[in-house]
Amino acid sequence: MAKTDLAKAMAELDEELVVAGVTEQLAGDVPAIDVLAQLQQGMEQVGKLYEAGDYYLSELIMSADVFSTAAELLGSALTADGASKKLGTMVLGTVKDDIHDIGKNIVATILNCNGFQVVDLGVDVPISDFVAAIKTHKPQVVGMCCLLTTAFDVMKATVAAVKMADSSVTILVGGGPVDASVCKYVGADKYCRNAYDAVAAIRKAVGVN
Amino acid sequence: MKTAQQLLKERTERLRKTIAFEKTDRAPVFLNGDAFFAKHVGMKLSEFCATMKASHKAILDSFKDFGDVDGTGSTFATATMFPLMFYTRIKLPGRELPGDTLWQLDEREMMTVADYDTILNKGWKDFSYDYLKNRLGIDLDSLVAQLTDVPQFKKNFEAAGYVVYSPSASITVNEFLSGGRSFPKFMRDLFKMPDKVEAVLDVILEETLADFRQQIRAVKPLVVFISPARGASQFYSPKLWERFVWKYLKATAEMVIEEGAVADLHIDGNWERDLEYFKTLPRQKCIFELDGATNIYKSREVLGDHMCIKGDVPAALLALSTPDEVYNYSAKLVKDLGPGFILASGCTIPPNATDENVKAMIAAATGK
Repeated sequence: MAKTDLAKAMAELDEELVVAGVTEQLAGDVPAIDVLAQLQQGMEQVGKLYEAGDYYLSELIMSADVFSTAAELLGSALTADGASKKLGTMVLGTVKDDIHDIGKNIVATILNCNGFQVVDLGVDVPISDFVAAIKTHKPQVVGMCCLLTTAFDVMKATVAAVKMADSSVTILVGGGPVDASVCKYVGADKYCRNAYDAVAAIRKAVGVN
Repeated sequence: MKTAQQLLKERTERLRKTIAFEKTDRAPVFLNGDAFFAKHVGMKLSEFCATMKASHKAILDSFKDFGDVDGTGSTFATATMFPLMFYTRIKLPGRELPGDTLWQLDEREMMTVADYDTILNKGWKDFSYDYLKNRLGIDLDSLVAQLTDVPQFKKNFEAAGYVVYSPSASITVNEFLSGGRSFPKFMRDLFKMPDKVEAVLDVILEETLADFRQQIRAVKPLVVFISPARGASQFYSPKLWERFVWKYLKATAEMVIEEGAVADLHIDGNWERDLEYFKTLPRQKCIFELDGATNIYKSREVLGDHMCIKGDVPAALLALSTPDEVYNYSAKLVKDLGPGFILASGCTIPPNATDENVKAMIAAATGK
């Protein structure tokens, strides 16, 4: 029986075929890490389709859902294969006084699917929590988001505190009202329009093609 | 010096002519905002949200400092009404949030897939009442009691010479589900059970449009506000957008127009891909209200004189830029997009906009 083209099924968001393919390959003793690699190839294709304007947020959300379902099937086999090794780490959070998390959660999922570790601090994150997380997790990148314009000042203060704690980290910002001018105002390194901007930025920061 | 009634008549006529692309003495300028006005009069947001009367007074008092503005988008703070529009909880200042923090929707999965069947079996209204009251814990009686003051709020603004831009308002029905289910879950439902979601939306549309039609007949507004909130093209693939956003937005706008009013389409986010669709709505019967995310020049290029455009001074510009920058941005819009252009902030004026920046925006329209 021909092996399911998992990357293609993933890119086409065919959940049934992805589940069947993962199950089939695990039963055929394909190492979990190889199965994961195929899924990630599919997610890379999703990213390309998104960048090309063929996929939208709707497809990103669905792709993350399909990927999560497949990753659950891999379960403990993945850890045993050593697949938990990540390409890099990002500390991510919605800044203090802002509780919005939809965009942040999408960024976290897409980064995870692309092989990065995300330390998600949640929403309404105090400056001290960002600083503590940097000390604990030693990330290459810190991501901050907000949906409220009233959070710009606290974002600015958070950026300053993070830079003070570790001047080597790359700081990315995003969210509804955030644009290049806000990025400049808060002193961050880069404004990300979407989750794939964040993927590109973290790849650059950690030196992965 | 003109009386308030003369000003009201003049401003109403200016708006009416602008919608019809007729020549006017100047571009109309409207202020859409809420928390900004509380800050302007030095009121804590917890007080501002406590009652509709309190927020109404703050907005009206604040208006008097801004001179020759044509009118207001809202006459009171709608924060406490948000759960009735988005079917999700809200965190309010002085209740779940510190006293001077802006209110925020607390969006999570409050509506389940099983609720789709309940709506299909029992209808929207029965489900809705029980859901709002018992699952979200909304004090509907208090809200309904406060809403009885709204006609008087409108009269108060009109007595001061200001046009109340859209005394009737609605959201497109897909927002009830995308808020109630949460946006990500709703998106997944569109892939996993599209037929069921569409059937539910059809039930909601039929029931809500019937009520909304009656409201328009009672109020007889010039303009009716329709918010497709998170229906932007940037979020949906074309097929999903056409089926789950456009279908319902179009039906709502057409009903509004059928009833003799003008549909104000509150176009938050980027809708650039789908501008052509809006040309299928009746000519000069809609206002395309932009927030800076959809390119306003591209919108004019595609829509031509089919639809008046309103907007789009961005929130970040009002909060972070200088008055000169705001003035130049706004004056360019007035020069390039008129006639058939209403100057306003994108969406609403943010609470941390400076007074000087708001005045600069107004000056770009009035020349004062």
